Amino acid sequence: MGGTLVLLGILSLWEGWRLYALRTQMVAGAVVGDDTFPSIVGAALLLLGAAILLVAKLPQVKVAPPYGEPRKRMILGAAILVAYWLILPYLGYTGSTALVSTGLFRAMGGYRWPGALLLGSATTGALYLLFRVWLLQPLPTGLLGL
Amino acid sequence: MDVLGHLGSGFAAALTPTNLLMALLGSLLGTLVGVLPGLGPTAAIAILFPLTTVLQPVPAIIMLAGIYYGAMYGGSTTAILLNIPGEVASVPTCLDGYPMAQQGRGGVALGISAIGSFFAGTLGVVALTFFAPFLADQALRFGPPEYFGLMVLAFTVIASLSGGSLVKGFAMAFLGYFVSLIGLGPSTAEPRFTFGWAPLMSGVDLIALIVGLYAISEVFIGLEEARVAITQKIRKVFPRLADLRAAFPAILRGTGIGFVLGLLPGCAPGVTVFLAYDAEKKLSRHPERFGTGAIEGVASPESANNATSSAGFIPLLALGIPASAPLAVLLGGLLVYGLQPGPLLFQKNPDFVWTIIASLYVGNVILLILNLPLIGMWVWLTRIPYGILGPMILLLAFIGAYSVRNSMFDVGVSLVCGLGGFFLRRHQWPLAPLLLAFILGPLLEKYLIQSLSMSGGSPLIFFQRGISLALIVGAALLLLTSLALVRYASRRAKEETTEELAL
Amino acid sequence: MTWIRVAHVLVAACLLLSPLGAEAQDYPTKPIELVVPFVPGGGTDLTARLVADYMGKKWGQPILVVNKPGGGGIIGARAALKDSRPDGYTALIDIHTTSSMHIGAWKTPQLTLADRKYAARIVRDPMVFAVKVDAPWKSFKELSDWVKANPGQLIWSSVGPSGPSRYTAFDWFTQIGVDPGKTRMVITEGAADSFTKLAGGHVMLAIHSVAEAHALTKAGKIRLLAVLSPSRVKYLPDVPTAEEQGVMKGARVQWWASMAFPSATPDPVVKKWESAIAEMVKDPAFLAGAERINMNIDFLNAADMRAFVEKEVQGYTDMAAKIGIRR
Repeated sequence: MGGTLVLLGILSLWEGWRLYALRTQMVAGAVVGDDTFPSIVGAALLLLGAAILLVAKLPQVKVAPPYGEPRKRMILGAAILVAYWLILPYLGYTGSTALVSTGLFRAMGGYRWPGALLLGSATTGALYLLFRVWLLQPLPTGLLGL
Repeated sequence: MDVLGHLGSGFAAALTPTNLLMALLGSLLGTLVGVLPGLGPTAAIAILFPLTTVLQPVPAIIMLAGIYYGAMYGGSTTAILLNIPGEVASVPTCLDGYPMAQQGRGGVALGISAIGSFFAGTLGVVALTFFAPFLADQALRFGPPEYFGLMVLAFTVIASLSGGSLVKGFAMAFLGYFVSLIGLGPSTAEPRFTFGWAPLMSGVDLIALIVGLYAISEVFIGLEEARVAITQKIRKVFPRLADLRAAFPAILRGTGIGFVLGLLPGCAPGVTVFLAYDAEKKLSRHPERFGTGAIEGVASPESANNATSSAGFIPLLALGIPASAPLAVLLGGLLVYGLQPGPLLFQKNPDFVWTIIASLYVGNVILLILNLPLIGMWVWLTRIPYGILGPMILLLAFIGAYSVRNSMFDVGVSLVCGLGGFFLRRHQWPLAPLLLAFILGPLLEKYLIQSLSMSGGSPLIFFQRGISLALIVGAALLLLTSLALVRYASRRAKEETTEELAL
Repeated sequence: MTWIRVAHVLVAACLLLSPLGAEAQDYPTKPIELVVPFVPGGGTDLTARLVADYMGKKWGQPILVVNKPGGGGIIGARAALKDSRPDGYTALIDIHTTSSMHIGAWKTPQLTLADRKYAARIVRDPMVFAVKVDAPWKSFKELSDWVKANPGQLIWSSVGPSGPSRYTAFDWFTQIGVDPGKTRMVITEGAADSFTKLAGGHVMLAIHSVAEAHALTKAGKIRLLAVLSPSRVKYLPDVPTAEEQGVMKGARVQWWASMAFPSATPDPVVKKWESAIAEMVKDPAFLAGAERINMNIDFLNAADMRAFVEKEVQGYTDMAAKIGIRR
């Protein structure tokens, strides 16, 4: 974690440097510009990151990685969500949600396929009604315009 | 001025069946939309606005106001019951509200929240009734340096949100700040941290962040804990008098803070609720209770929330300056119906204005009446098996994140934040500072740039102006107090458990 | 089995083809988002809300005005022109700040004329110079003399680095012989933001359009010293022109607003807007609404509008280079 912070700090400082050159160009006589805060934040991140890595004695938190059933559910759940994100532009909202919700109910709730399918379609239907029909919210449409 | 007389006729108009119905409908719909994760008042008004276009001016504005209040309340409901803030202003409510729900006291939290909101909202409208023009003028005196001082003050709140470890707290804060920098620079519109990747140019959206960090990560934590449902047993559904008495001072303080800050156009409601929460924590005799289900921790932000909303009407009606997006919609409504906001509004169109104000009162009452009985229903949500609730939350989260800008990128951001949030929370890194810094960052920057432009580069401007000087001194004092409190709290915790704990 | 396959293909084909053709006749079939790249309350915002109200009623679909301020208007303009779907359901109120002035000030602008299609111009307003109602200067000449003597003390507001306030101010500075670099320019997010700061005494001068200044002038918080146009504006008979007071010659900066779309938006949609706007500017209710805020409606159709903006680009490019703000 500390390492990440250090990296981000360096990144921020670099961007600050890049913007510094622009600052006086754009607004004549400006004392602060878009570069100021990246520099400040960069410095802070760097310091804090270094502190965490090297110096500070952070309270040790024992974190046992999950195992067994919960772990399987989490990984599956995460995978399904990522898949959802990927297929949405192609299958459109209705189709994707139907698939994904079924999958989620099975993975997270442990319902067997028929149950999951039922819950999934009910949810999809409800969401469709709520957002598409009633609230007229624009939702991603896939290749088929669904 | 014949204020009470006007108000009376305003009530007469507001209590007509049509207008009452509009207020009711608006509140109900607003609450329903506000409950959905990521959809707050702004989204609620944007979504439900079409319904109002078919109405006459007065009922339309009444309904919009109802939606606004309703949505603010809806956001609190999920914050308390599901640990998922419906919108930014509900984040501090999660901190104590959710533990209360886990202890089976969710109903109590909701009840106090409703009562506090009602109280704050009504008080706000009272002030609006009598003091609108005067207060608006005072608000004008807040210029960039004063706002900057205010933001610095808010920033110090981070210290007390850090749990036990200041280093972690500030690290998260600066991380949040860093993320907020992504996008176009405020003064020159130069892309920052985008590396030429187009979607990043619009920056990371706040709602996507919240939805990911809180909603998605929450579901995963639930999965990991093999949660069956959020509560197994509901102990008390309604708040008792004792609860009310405990919460009342907090409600008052929250109202005060929320109202005063809400007068300032551009002071985000997200900021005032954090300040109110922090004030409660600092003034309490047992600050270590906060975060474990202290009722003041719910009462204060909720009151501040509604006080800010009510106060927002003051610059709107008196100066024509909307303090936030939903109010901008209301402003648009006013203009389109030919009403010029400003001191003249009270003189030229008294009927309209007073009807609106009266219906704000009515709206508050309606919300209270609507929500108290509904508490039982909401609380039942916590009994739903997580196997069903979890996926539903995730699905709604997707919609919430998408609907802000119709952007799949935002949904992707949510996912990343969800995963990131999960790990952060497991390793006890506090999320609240991240969020607060994310909100404050751009504001701090904007006001600093503007202030220094005003002074021609001299930082002395902050010290030369009374209000901003006071604010900065106040911020320094608060910071010291926070640091002292953190030491005190962790020492007490050490005493009690003889181990160093990260809270 | 093959029949089912064929049916699938036919259905898919129909679904694929239908949205395209039916577009213009049925448009709009759902709410349209109208982006305003500045804070609410400014001229762009007011124009948008008036248009949204009229069109919403005309087409029976709500037009949602969405404010996306920041970056001198570029953040919102980008969001509308580049990040949105060019299906006609995202529109932008495009003004000089986000088009001709921006292109004039930058060698590599973030948004070019090619990124947008114009439907029509709606508003054209002259600029006014505004100060706080109790400011010490009673006339534009007084203000100009003071600024000549004390350039370092002038605090004025500009919406973004390449907005009309800046161009106008620079034109003014050049003509009265003041070095703009000595003055203090504060960047704001819109006319409403500028005027709030002006009324609160945090900036001394704000330069915006007649319509934008209307609200706070009527509220008695600000005073207009001069209007930048060839002759006095009919809404403001008491405000002398800058030329009358012998301070400036010529009005090279003006405020206008138009309806624009991402360049890939289908032409039938843009045409539909064009004709709708042409009708709108004749509608008495709409005109009354505009008149209430002293907004001058000046319609120009899509083709003429494009030519108008291209000419402006030339003008502002020259101006920016001469003044030295072109990067």
